[in-house]
Order: sequence, then structure tokens, then C-alpha cells
Amino acid sequence: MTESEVPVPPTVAPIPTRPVPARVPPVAPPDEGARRIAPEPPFRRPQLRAGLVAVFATMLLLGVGLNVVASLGVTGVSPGSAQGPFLKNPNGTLEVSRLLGVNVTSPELFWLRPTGTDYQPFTGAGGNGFYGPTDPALLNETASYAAELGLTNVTVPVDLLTPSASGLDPDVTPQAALVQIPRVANESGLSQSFLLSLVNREIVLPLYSWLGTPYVNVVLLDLALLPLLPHPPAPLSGRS
Amino acid sequence: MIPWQAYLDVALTLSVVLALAPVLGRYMARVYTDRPTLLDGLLGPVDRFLFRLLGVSRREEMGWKEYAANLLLLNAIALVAVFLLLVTQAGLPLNALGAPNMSWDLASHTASSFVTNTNYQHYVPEQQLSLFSALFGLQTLMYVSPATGLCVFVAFSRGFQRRDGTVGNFYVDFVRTLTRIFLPLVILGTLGFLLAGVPETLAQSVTAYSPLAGAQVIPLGPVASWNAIMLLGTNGGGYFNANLAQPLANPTAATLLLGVVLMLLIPLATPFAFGYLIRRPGEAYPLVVSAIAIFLLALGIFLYFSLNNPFLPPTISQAQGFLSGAEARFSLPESALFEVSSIYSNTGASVMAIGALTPWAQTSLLFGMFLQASPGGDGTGFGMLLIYVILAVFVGGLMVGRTPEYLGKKVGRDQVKWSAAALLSHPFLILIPVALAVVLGLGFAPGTLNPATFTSILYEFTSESANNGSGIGGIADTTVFYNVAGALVMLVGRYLPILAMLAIGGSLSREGPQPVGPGTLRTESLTFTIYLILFLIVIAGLLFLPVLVLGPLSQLG
Repeated sequence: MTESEVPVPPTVAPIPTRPVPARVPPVAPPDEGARRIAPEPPFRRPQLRAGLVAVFATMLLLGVGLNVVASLGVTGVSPGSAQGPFLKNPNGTLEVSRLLGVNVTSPELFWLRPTGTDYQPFTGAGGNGFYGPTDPALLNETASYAAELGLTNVTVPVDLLTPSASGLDPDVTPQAALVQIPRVANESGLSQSFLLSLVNREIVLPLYSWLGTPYVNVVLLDLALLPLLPHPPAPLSGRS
Repeated sequence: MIPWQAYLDVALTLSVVLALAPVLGRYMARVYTDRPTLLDGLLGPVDRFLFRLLGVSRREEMGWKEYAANLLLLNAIALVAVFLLLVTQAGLPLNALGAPNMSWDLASHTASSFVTNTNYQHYVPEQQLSLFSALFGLQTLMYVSPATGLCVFVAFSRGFQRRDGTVGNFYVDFVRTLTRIFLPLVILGTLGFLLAGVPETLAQSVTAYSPLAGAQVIPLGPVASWNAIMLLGTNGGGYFNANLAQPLANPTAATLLLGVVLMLLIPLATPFAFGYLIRRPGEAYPLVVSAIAIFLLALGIFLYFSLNNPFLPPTISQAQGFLSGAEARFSLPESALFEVSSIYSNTGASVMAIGALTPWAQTSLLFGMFLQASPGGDGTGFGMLLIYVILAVFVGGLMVGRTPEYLGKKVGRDQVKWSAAALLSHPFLILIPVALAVVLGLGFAPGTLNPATFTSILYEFTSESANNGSGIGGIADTTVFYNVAGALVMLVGRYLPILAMLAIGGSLSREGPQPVGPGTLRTESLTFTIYLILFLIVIAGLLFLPVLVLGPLSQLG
């Protein structure tokens, strides 16, 4: 049974139990005939009923059942958390998701990253509209957004000038918030040192940087800043 | 500077996966050999009820052809059912947001995409999918497809252990995969996402009124449980169009790292399960080490080339890395870990915009999809790795004059023929559609063909053929051409290798064991491990180097 390393002329006797015809020269070493090859097991027709039942059982128990049980369970235990973390208006309506950016355009507020979604999650435009890393349009885009922000002669962090993957990112790096302080101070009349303390208060250190990187949630920063502005921007509630 | 803790996060997360993988692997082997497990008291009656409903006898063993026929039948039923759902969803319930019926080509693409474990999304979930279709349709396929993959794995593995030509009973494997592996893991994953604040509700939207910018309509749904099966099943199709970059679905670095664990868990547990199934646990190590080595190499390349984009002027600071198309709440090492884990496990979930990545980072992702096996998707990724091993044993045996055999089974003509078919189908399925798209002008708007567009076309078909599902953007891919060609590529790219894996398992199962002799190639050795790693890199490199040069790498010049 052991393999011989010396080439032996191939035997031509076909093995009756093996379905491969002998006219094709065997690739395997010639002592193949010594091995036992079991016959092919019988083939029964595929079981239509089993297939149908398996698919519809998966659909009802897992596809639908598990989600419905989990959703109703969460809504029952903690109705607020079923929607994710939201801030509420005094009248009880939802004010803003802590997790989603909004389209801030007032010059006296801090701005978010540029986006193709207009910070409207329903456009589903996240993941689109990116310029490749070597595309000259990327340079134009970053330069024009820097100009809009009034940041032409300073070093600007790349995240403030480029879109996020989701197009909904409410966060920027702490540097990207700090670099906007001179503009916000200029436009709003608040002092730079006051704004600096405000930004520093809003820097999130997730578990002291053990989970994630330090960042500033610009939406929460602006919500904190809004009531402090000497000349608040015109009411925006009608805008969409 | 990037905080050093971020790098430590990456190392700790991978350590957690590697610590859990052998435990889960051992459990999986128990499930597939019908030995008692912890959950039997609870789920035993469920199993028995389901088998009665299915009309299946648990002791009825199948040969590979019967196993394959039943597998294909079940997948075909699921495909057709979901196709019908998608083209009629406007008239079905739970459609509060008014998603229209999908066109026949978009529905074909979507149903094929989810049944093949690809989950490439040409539709926009927020606008084109009702909650009914999401649950009855796509979520169902997100369970069917990875369970199918694990069935293929276990049938393939039994070939090395049996000698009577049988590979198991497909329905028993399918039901036990769902009740004993996916159900408990999905419940744990869902709880993890819930605790971290991911929404879980049957409401489809809420409206927020912010004093900063007015009204904002926010899509919602059972996101936590969707995330769990999307990642554990290496599916990767997001509840939201922005996938796991969407802050509601992936709010913190904790959820990102949980996602990494869930994606890598089953693909890395599978080699250990294989070792226990064939009763040679040591044989798992060369396979795990090879997969991890290539994974780490890719992660290193990806991360290094994402730290800095040299094409940007110095007035733009990249102290935290090149964050274009990345989310600011994650550090770059964490985003990179997620992205590489997702592509290399053929999940295809995403927290970064792949189109915004630097050319070498894109190349490292493409390489993972060319290989499909480091560690690859649930079940089929490991199946591909075994196919590479069979070819490596065959080639290596010829080079050093050893008998081509693996785990006591001789590697003969049948096995090599099927292995080569599975291996070579991949470049065919990628390069022919890419050539059609480029040469016939079907795949891009006139006058827009440049290295970036070519990369997009290449990425599209690579992702589909590898059943990966990540997208790069940059081309309008919701055309009839991309939908139909994509659906065909995904279906052949899924079921041809599956047939090969089952056929090899079936033919090995008929063989008697080969006694260990002086001519036996020791596959547990370090030498074989190193040889296997180089074999994987060289084979994938030889097949695909030309298109890498034409695509992402030509963006450098």
C-alpha cells in the first residue's frame, strides 16, 4: 500500500466501480487500484416540500419573528431607546438626534463637514459624490470649502474639508472645531477665550481614547452656543 | 497624532476574536456531529418539530449530488420568493414610506445579491425598500445564505472523515446551523447593539425639529437585529444606504469593534471546527495562521497608505490620517480594521467611502476579494481555502516528489479538476464582464473612462464575483446592464464553487484512507504553513496583477 517513488508504467485495467473511464490517462499514481473506492450513494429526487417549508420557516421565525420580538421587546422595556438617542424640545417633539448632523449655514455657528446629502438621511446619498484621492477635483473642493469657512491662510484638518462616509457625520476632530473659533468669534461677537472653553467642554474622549478617538459633536456644540449668541439667527423652524 | 490607544484597540479586538474562535469552532463541531450541546433542552423540541414539518428523516444520509440538488432547490425557492416580493412590494403591507415596486432587473439583482451572500445594493434602502420586503424578503435571505455556506463547509469537511460516499443530510445541517449557531449568536449580537444605543423599532421614521436647521425626517427600523445577522452572516447589506457609516446604525467605536468581532467570528471559528470534525485539531493551525497572516499584511498596507494622501497640499493637516470619506467618531486604525475585516471576510459592510481611499488601500481590499479565503465568508471562505490547499498539495507534491494527499485522502484527478474550476471561474467572472463594460462602452458614460472609472468597474464585478458586496461608487450601476450582468456574475460566482466544494467532498468521501508513509506531505508543519501563504499570494497575484496595474495603481501616475 505504501507509495513507490519510482515511476511504474501505468496499469490499464479499468476499475469497474469507478465511474471515470479508463481511456483518460490517470493523473494519480498508478497504484490507485489498490485503494477501496466506495460506490456512489443513491440519488433521490430533491425534496420540494422540505425546501419550501425550510424557506418559509426561516422567513417567519427568523426573518420576521426575531425582529418583531426584539422591536416590541425594546419598545416595551424602554420606549425612548427604541429610536436611538434623541434630544427633545420642551414641547415634547424630537429636537435632534445626537447622532446625525444637521445642515448648519449661519456664519456665527460652527460648521460641519461638507456633504452630498444636505444632512437629510432620507436622500440615502451617503457613500456617493466622493472625489478620488488623486482627483484634481478633490483639491478644488477642499479649497472652495476652506474659502467658505474663511480659512484660507491657516492649516485646516482634512476632515473639516472632506465629506464623511455617511454624509451625516455630526462630528469633527477637536482641531477642526478649534480652527473655526476666530471666525465664530468675529461673526457672533463672543470672545475667543469663551468659545475656546465652550469647545473644550464639548470634546468627547470616549473612555479616555480607549474606544475611539477624541471628537467634537458640532450639533451639540451649536445647540449649546445658540442661546448664548448676542444676535441669534432668524428662526429656522420653517426650513427643511 | 493618532492616539496609541487606537492601535491597541485593534490588537485587543483581534485577540478577542482569536480567543473566541476555537471555542466557537469546538461548539460548531459538536453541532454538526449531533452531540449534546447546552441549548438542547430549549431547542431540541424546536428541531424535532421542524424536521416533522419538513418531512425529513434525520438519519437519512445523502451523497454529494443529492445534497447539492436539495441545496440548490432551497436557494432557488428563496430567490424566486424574494424576487416576487420585491416586484410587488408597493401593494403589500408595512410600506409607510411608499417604496415603489422594483423593476424586474433591479429586483433580480437584489434577490440574487442577498441569496448569494453578496448583498451588493443597487437599490437605496431608504427610498426603495418597504419594511415588509426588508423582513420577509431580505432579512430571510440573510439567514438562508450564510446557513447554506456553513452547510457547504460541513459537507466538504465530512469528505475527509468518511469513506462511504455520503456527506450528510442537507436539511439537518441547515436547520441545526440556524437554530444552534445563528439564533443564539444573533440574539447576543442584537443585545450588544441595543446596549450601545442602536435603534430597534418597527416604526419606519420619525421627524425631528431642530432650531439649527429645521425639520429632518429620520429613517428607523429594527436596526440592531439587522446589524447582528448582517455581520454574523457575513452578509454586509446595510439597513441604511450608508451602511455602517450611518451614525444611527454604528454610533460609537464600541459598536464598530463589536461589528469586527461578529464579522470575523464564524469565518475564523470554521477552521477550528474543521480540525475537530476530522479529529485532528492541529490541522486547523496552518489554515488559521495562513488566513491571519495575509489578513494582517493587508491591514498593515491599508493602514499605512491611509495615514497620508501625498496629493493634498501641506496646508491641509492629516494628523489624524487621511479622513476623506471616514467618520470622525472613529480613529483611523479602527476604521481600517473594520474595512479590512469586512472585505477579507467577504462581508462587504463599510464604514469608509472606498472610492475616497488611496490607491494602495483600494488595492489591498481588491486583493482580499481576489483571494476570497483569508478568511472569506461564512463556510464558503473556508471552502475556498481548502480548495487552495488541495491545489497547493498537488503542486507541492509534484515539485518535491511526494504523494499528493491531504489528511489521509489522496488528491486525484477529480479533486484537482473541480478545484481548478472553482479557482478559474473567479477571474473569468471578473475579467469578461469588465472587458464587456469597457470595450462595448456599456459600463460608463461616454468620455468618462479613466483609471478611477476603470477601478470602479473592476471593483463592481470583483465584489460581485467574490460575493462580497462592498461598493466603490463612481459609476451609475443601476442600469439594466449592471443589474443583469451583476446578477449572473453573483449567481455563478456563488454556486459554481459550491458545486465544486460539494463534489470534492463527495469524491473524497468515497475514498479509503491513505496510510501515513515516508512519502506523506506533513501538512501540520511550519514549512507547509509558509508554503501555503506564499502559494496563496502568488496564485492570486498571477491571476490579477495586470488589472491591478490598469486600475487602482495607475491612479498613482
